[in-house]
Amino acid sequence: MVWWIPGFPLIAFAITLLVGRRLAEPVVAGIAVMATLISFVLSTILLLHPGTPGAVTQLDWLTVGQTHIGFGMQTSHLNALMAFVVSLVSTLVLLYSRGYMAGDERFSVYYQYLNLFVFSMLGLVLSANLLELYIFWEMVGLCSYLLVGFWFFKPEAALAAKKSFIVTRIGDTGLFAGIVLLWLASGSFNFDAVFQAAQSPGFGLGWLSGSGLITLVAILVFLGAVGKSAQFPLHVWLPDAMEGPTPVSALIHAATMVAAGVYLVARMFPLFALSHAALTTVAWIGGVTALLAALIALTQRDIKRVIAYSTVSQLGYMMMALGAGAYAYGVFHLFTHAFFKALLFLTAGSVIHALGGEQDLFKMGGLAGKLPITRWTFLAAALALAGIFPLSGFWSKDAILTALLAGGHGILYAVGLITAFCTAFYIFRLYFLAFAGTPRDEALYAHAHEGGWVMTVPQVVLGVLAVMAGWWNTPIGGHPIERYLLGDAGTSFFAGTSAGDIGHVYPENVLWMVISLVVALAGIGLAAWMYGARADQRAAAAASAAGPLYRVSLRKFYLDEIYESSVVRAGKWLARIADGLDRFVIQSIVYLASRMTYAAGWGLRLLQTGQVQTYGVVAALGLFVLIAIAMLRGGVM
Amino acid sequence: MGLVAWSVAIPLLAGLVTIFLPSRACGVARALSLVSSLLTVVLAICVWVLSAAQPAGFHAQSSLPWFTLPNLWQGTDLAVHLSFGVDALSLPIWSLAILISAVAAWAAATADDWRERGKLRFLWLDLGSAGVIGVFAATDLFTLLVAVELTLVSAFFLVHLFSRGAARGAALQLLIYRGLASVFLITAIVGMAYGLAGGFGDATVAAQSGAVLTFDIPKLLSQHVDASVFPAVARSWLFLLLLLGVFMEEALVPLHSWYPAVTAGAERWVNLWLGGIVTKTGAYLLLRFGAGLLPDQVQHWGALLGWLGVINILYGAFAAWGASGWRRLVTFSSISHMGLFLLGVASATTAGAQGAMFLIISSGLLTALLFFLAGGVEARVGTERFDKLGGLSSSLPLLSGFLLTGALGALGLPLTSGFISEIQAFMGSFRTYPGLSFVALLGLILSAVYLLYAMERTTFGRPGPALEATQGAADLTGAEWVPVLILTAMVLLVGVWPSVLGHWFNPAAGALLRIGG
Repeated sequence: MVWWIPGFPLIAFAITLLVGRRLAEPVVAGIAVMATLISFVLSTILLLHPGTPGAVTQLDWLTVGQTHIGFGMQTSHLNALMAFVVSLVSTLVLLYSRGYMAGDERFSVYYQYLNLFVFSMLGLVLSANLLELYIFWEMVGLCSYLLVGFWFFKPEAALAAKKSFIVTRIGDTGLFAGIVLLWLASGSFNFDAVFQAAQSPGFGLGWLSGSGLITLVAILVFLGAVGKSAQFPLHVWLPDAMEGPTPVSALIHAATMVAAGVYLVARMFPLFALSHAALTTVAWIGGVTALLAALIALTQRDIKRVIAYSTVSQLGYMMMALGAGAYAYGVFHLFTHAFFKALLFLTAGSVIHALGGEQDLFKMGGLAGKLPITRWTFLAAALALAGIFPLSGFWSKDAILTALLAGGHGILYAVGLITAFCTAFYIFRLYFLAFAGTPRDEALYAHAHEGGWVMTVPQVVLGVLAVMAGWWNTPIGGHPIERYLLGDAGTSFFAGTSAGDIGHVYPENVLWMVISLVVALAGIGLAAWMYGARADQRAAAAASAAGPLYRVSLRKFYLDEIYESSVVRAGKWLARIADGLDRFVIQSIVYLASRMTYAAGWGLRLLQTGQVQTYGVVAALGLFVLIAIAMLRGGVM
Repeated sequence: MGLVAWSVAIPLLAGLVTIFLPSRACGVARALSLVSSLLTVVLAICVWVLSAAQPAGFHAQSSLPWFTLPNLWQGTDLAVHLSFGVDALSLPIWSLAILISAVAAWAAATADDWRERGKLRFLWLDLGSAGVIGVFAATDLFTLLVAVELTLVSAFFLVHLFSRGAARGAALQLLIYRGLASVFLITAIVGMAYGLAGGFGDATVAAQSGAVLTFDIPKLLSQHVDASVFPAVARSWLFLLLLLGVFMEEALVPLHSWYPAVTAGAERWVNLWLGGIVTKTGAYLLLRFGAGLLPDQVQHWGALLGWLGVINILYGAFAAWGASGWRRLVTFSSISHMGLFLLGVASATTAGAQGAMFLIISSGLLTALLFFLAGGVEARVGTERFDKLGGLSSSLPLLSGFLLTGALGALGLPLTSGFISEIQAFMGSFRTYPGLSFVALLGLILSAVYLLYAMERTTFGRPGPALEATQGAADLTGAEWVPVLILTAMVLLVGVWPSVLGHWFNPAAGALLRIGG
């Protein structure tokens, strides 16, 4: 049955690839939604009956030396939860896209790419070994590239697609090296063999062994996650990736693919747990990313970019949790975030759709009346993101903050709180700018209207989830998700680990809950004061008061400019040198050499007469002579 | 005669018949070429199926006595045979030679101007195919020598006759480089045969152990001799000589300059043939004789090979990034891939050797595909330069789509042949040379940089200045579908189901490095 979870989207991909261009839009979308819906049903069954965690069904794929590499599916509580989230959000986004992309001349190509993505993403979270995981890891990257560049005629989209692939590839190369090194040290790509080898005392290679190797490999693997999950310093591709269609942003660049990095760290958690240095790195990279992205999000003008930086920031939150050892909390936040962040993008898409493609926040305003469903669902998602009781984000964010404080990560806790304040501020700044007050552009406002049911139904479903998904893991219920996830400990999925290794469980503290709630409410209050209906010019005044700080945030800490003028420039420079060297230096040496040969050799001069046939004869003759010499010498001896 | 011998005989016969055709009968030459290509493909499939159950050892062998050099070695005669056969190493590469030659013949026969110098076109392509197929099929050193020379001469004439502008001079470069290369290669290989018979060592010990001078390749591969028979100094020099030949034959930096010079001007089916298979002969000979006969030397010179490999990876990648058009980009991308091939061989591990073998196939398929598609762009738009291209996706979506597939394969995307080849090479190289391998990883990033840059400039974005000319230009034509589909299908087949090659290359890699790990 597990094979069919990615299998149905693959079938849908094959159909749309072969005959998609000839099918009507509803048929193309219908096939895709049905296939994903079946995957969702199967994933739900899997979630409820995950069987023995770590169970693998696989085929022989390739034998390298003595290593047999398989290709198959592995089930566990973590994988089942991921498949559930991926297939659920995918189904809703595929349905929504029917309305959003209606009339696009490459409608079927769009669904073709999305089907391929859903297949790859489900394959990724069910992979039976590291090599297979890497294969799907790159496949989702390919789909992201294709979909970011979907409107290929826009130069910005073309550049963004290229950038997203190359920046993530830098991280992927680390993952690639990490996988190869793990194979060398353990002789296998299978997770259980790798974990067991890492825990054995003899773990090592000739040049590095023991904890040093574990730390190196874990950090290399994490590098892959840094690229894919847009963590500092490789986060720069994700905001640009917003050039893709908005449903793509919701599915790939918010809910699923970018969370794959978090999944990777979770999947490899037994390895990370063996290295304090690696966990600390994960936590701090997560913390820096969370804060940096939240600070940038404060000032962005583009509705999608604000949400994109929010995604970067929230992924950093998840990494912080994993780095602090709170495995289950990190995954729980991934779970709730998938719903409310996908919803934020879908509602943003609804706004953009209603305004005929306008994405500038300062041309919006007063949309609450025109787009009531969008407004209320957006509000639900925004409250969830801000972490307001009792919405989903509150529970998962608070769990992470609790874990940070209880785990002795005081500075990271402070980082988390500041980020929470910024988060509440920027998302309500967006809310007030778009939905509250009066229209800033009457012409745009006049045409605004809700999309059809295909667009509003997914929003409402996600809205319900954004409110309620967190209730699945409250103290009242006894933390069902935590217990569910920790069921993987000690099985062959997390070979050689105990529940204590993969997840510390911290008791709730009402005081800390109140603190984080107050901080979030303060953020919302400030946003209301600056951007609410009676705000006048307070925002502009604040911006000019902040001066250079405002510009640093607006210009995204100048990181793009720094990369452009260092790494990119150096690379282009080297490329130009190599090209010049090859064209002029090496070519002229060859030219000189051949000229000298001409001058010296009468034999070659003969050949210049144009009797080209003689070339072959000369070449062959030379060989015969050489062989004859060799033979003769052999005979004489 | 065995099936493998026919794979050489059929195109050779087609070529010989073509010689006697009147120039006007180019239609007949074309038909002969196509039919003989098709027959060789059928032969390859038969050998593939018949030998699959037992991949190890030589298959479909046949041997005809050719001539004898009397009293040549210790009083015995040296019998030279015309003999053919394939083993687990050569069978897939021999099949690649057949496939690429057939695709090249199809492309040459369906080009708009196929009547132009039609007779010479098919004559040299038939002879060249016989030659290059023979290189991988030969099981006798003299047969190999003849095949190498036939390939060289045919390649020279094809480039000379079917290039534009200054590229005719490049044909001479090809001749000089590859001509010298074949001298080095054959001298080194014959020297190895001579050394294995005790020619450089203690002849009496050799005689006692029954070592004889032979040109029979399977026999050479099974000879084990110790250092007193074949001294290490002689082994080293012969290996270095072989390496020199391989570098020129294979167009590896710094002896590569004939390759970009030739591909800059040759017609696309010529480039397809050269890049797809003719530039893979050196790599094969390095594996067959360098690693096969002197495995200790691969280990001894491993660091040199590894460094040269990394230099090729990076130089090729940066030169491809600096390239202003597709022809140069594909050429240097192929050089960069073969740098990784060297690194895989240098590791002297089974994984590295297996990766190196995969890389020969993968690089051949992808280089052929990219040369063909880039040629298709050039034929329609009138330029292959990035600064003049742009926005092709809107008017030529199919061509653009396949070009993207080829580029993704070349940058090593999983489920294409590129990825599975690269990771195996790295699995080997990280064991032996972790430091160099970390540097070589830069090649993975750079290949994404230059290929996606080229794609962005070609198919994405707004239509470039040259695109005006394409208004009305057809997307992939019926005839173009054949090479494109076959090559793409092979790239994906190897990527999705690598065992199709691993079935052969796994035992081949195990047998190759008898001393290695």
